[in-house]
Amino acid sequence: MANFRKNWDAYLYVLPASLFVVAFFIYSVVFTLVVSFLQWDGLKAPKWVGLYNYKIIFQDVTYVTSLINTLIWVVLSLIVPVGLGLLLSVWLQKLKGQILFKNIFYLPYAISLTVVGVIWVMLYSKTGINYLLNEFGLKHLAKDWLNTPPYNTFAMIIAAVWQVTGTNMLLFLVGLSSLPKDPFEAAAIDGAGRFRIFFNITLPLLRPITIVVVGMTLVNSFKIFDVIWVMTMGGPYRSSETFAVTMYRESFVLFNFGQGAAIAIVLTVASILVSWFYLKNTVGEGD
Amino acid sequence: MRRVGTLLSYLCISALAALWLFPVLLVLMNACKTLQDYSRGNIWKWPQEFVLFQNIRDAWVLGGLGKGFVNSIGYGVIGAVCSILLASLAAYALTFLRIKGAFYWFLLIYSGTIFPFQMYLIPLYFAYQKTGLFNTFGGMALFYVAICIPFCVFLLRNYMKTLPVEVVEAARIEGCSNFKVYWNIVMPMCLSPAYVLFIFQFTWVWNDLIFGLTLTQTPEIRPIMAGLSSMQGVFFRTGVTTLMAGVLITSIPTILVFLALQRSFIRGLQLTIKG
Repeated sequence: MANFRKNWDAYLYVLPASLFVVAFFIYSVVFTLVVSFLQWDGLKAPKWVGLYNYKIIFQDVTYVTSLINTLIWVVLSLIVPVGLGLLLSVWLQKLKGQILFKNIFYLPYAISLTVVGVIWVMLYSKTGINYLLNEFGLKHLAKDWLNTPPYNTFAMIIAAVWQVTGTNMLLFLVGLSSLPKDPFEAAAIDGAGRFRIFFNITLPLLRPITIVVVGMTLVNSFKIFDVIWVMTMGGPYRSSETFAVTMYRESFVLFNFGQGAAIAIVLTVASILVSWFYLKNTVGEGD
Repeated sequence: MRRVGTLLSYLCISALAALWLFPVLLVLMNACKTLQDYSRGNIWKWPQEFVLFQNIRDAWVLGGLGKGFVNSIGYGVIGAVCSILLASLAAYALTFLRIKGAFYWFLLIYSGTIFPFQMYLIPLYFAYQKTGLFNTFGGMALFYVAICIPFCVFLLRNYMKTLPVEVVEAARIEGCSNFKVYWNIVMPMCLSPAYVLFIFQFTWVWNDLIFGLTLTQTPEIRPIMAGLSSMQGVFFRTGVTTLMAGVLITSIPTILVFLALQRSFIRGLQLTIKG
């Protein structure tokens, strides 16, 4: 208590930031949790429905589609942009003119996902990629990309890959530049080949940064919204929705707030579970 | 043999780089075209006439992006500056002033980064309706300040832990007040992470779509990405060239920041990762 009296003004420094967090976010989490047990259109009195909103997520075909799409997004985002980013970073590391290539691959990251969506809608239009396919005699491959499931989901993932790969590459490059040189020199002296060096030395040493990249990718791909909202709005007939899009549509288009909240909770649980490793790595232990 | 390998390597990476640049080139090309030129040809055709500035003016005025542009500059600057100030106060107290359970205060604030944004949409929508903050400039600015705080605290706290404690202790022994130590000694040392944070948070606010869609309604208040998204609905059928000019308008600030401050970006990534 004596300590508190002497030092009371210290709390004034933490309070504003804490109040903001409590008022905006902690309050929201509790509110959403409560709403997820209700049937509520925001106007009439809410009705308590227990776990109904959760159960239906795994039964109704709309939500199951959304769940599957979300998983496709997560898995492919984990494989393509992370893999490609790693490949590019190792490739570029020893190349002269590294800076030029680095900037080119990283440039799309300066463009927001909303804008990326707008750009790729044009690329997927009739006179875009389809025109090229026609010109090269591959007419049978041309499709109405954004209106044909499941191609629309893959088409949008390509757009997202274009944007995010550069960041992953940059993170891996930062990681590579901080690696110790000795193991590589030793391996070179021992006559180890490039692939052996990559798999036996580079990859294990890059582990810390890989955890960060994988964590970021998981967290971001679970809640992917902007690209989809701009490119298909989850359509046609809700075939390309992910959880984040379904949540938004249920809440603010269909005014089915209980359902929207339940989906938000499922999304949260899933993303907290998978980002556990990431958090453990960034917060550090118990200081 | 080795030289052939190197050459091949350059060829492959150049091809990939070209592929990466193509969407950007296509945006530039099509933003320069007239609409007739676009609808008669295809997106790959070189523009016949150069009407880029007309298209940009149309996107700015008819497309309504001008208002969103000005709004988002405001939201970005207010959000970033206020959150950095509030967060630096908190980080300072957590690092240098003896606070009981400092780590738990930190966890409380840091918890703001854990949840997906979907958790905040419904409650904030209703709270904003009730308090009259819905669809107001102040309401949006307040929200952006709030959303930027947790990450700023996280990063500034990490950074302050690397500062020499002796300097702070010495100043205190000489009788400086807590606030004086904060403002005259700690903050000047934190300028470089504050700078990085400003870039990060401004970019985040600029790029935000979902909260702009949820918490605003009219073009006068809408931030730029929400504006672009509604413009896309109207202009994709009737004015792709104007829409591409809109793409340029919305991307120019972030691309400029990116080109000018790349080193800060990388430094920021390093700061974030070190943790």
